[in-house]
Amino acid sequence: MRLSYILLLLVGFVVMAEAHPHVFADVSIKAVFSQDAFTGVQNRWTFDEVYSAAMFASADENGDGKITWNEIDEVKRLVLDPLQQSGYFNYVTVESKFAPAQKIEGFSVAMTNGKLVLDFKVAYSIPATSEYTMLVIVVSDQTNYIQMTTDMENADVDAPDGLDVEFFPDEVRGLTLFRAFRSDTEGLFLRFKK
Amino acid sequence: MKKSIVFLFVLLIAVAASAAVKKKRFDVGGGDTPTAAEMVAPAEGASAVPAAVPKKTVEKTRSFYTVIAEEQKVLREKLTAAISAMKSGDWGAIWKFLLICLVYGMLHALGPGHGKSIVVGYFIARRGRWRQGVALGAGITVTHTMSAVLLLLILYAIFKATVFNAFETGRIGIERASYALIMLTGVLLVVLGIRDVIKSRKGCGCAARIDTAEEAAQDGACAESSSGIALPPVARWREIIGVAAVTGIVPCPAVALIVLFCLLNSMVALSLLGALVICIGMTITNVAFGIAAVAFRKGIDKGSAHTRIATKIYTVATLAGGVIIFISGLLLFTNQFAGRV
Repeated sequence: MRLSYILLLLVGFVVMAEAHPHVFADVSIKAVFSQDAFTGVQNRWTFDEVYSAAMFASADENGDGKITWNEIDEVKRLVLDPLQQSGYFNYVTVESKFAPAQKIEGFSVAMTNGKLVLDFKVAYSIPATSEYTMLVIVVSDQTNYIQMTTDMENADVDAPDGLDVEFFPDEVRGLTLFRAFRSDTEGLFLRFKK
Repeated sequence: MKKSIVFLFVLLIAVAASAAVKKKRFDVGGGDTPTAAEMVAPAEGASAVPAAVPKKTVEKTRSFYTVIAEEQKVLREKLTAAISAMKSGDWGAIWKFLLICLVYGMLHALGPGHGKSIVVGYFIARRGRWRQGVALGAGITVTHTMSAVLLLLILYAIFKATVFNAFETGRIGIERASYALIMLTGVLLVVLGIRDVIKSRKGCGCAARIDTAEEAAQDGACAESSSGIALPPVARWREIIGVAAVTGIVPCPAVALIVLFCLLNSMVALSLLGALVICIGMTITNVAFGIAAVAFRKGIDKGSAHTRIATKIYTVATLAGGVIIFISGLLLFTNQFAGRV
């Protein structure tokens, strides 16, 4: 009996063996709709100063202390392109499966108070019908390399008048597709119809 | 005129009330999701404007992991503020900087993935001494931090300010190799454990009394207690050095980033001092786990020494230690591919 308790303790300890954060990012999102579809998630990522300085130095090829037009692509290549396979850490579920992220749109970079700020839209295409379609949006790094603090309480929705959209933020605990995510991960729950 | 303004105002309210976007809690299919007060009406048919805050029925929870991560985030901000203060001539901030580095190191190592499960697994598989617990805990963190400093400095000499991308490329390669080797270490410990079981069943003739068992087991041979119970081998120094090297060789990106931040601010000596203090902080945490693991194993041995199933307990503990290390390596390896859809 005592041994079984010990083994249980050990298994619990091993399950904790995952990576830990080295980079920190504050994230805010906006769900974007067109007249007849969910078209994507507008992201704003604000990185911590230490990581920002490292990436800024890597991207600032001409060393003028500014991110110029031709260096914006370099930031995207360094920061976002490696995340393509992970859907740029944007997870959108529809009908019990993850919708694939299509591409990045409107990428822009700024340095604000020493922090690297990325603005971009992760494009999706989920059509609206006369019945409600439900989505859950989560922005999170499952490798735990970047600790993403997503402000879901202030997440926004941009939709035209012709579309009926309801949304609320909550934890995704209990949802099957997010069972591998940390228990306190928050998501934006949406449903929309024409 | 007044009537027109009132009419326009009423019209605007009516349009807003029928607007399409609502912040509203709805049933997601679980049946127990309550509806709550609505947040009404986007301005101009676009962004929703909160009119009332919906009541949440469930309090927000924060996991232990999140608490540690958020604290590290706060410390990192204080760290950059201290560096900026020193850069602008306020060298009194150095004490604050060093204290933050120490606490940051301790907290950073408390997070998963710093070899604590490897330390615990090893000292469950092997009976260790206190100094061996200290050595393994310290060995992993010193290797982990110093490999980061070394790799960063070498790459900085080559790539200058654009070093971090090259560092990350190198780190990911080393990381994968390290996790594969951790898995191999776990497998080896299990194999050695099974070999010891077979040996003890055959009666290998290396009987030693419990008071001399540790010495007898130094060469990896099995030993016996005074009651004739086979004891698993004692931890060996060359194994400890190997486990520390394999586990700690992955360069710590957190240390590398802070060192690079100092270098980019032309503070070379401060970067090395900061790395050293972070290393000390991380060592404190990992050594505590090393000592706890040795104590844990000693507790198992002592608690079961006079039971009839003592040999079985020793065997299970030895195998469990190897399995823990293998699973740790496997989880770390697969975690690199987590979140791919």
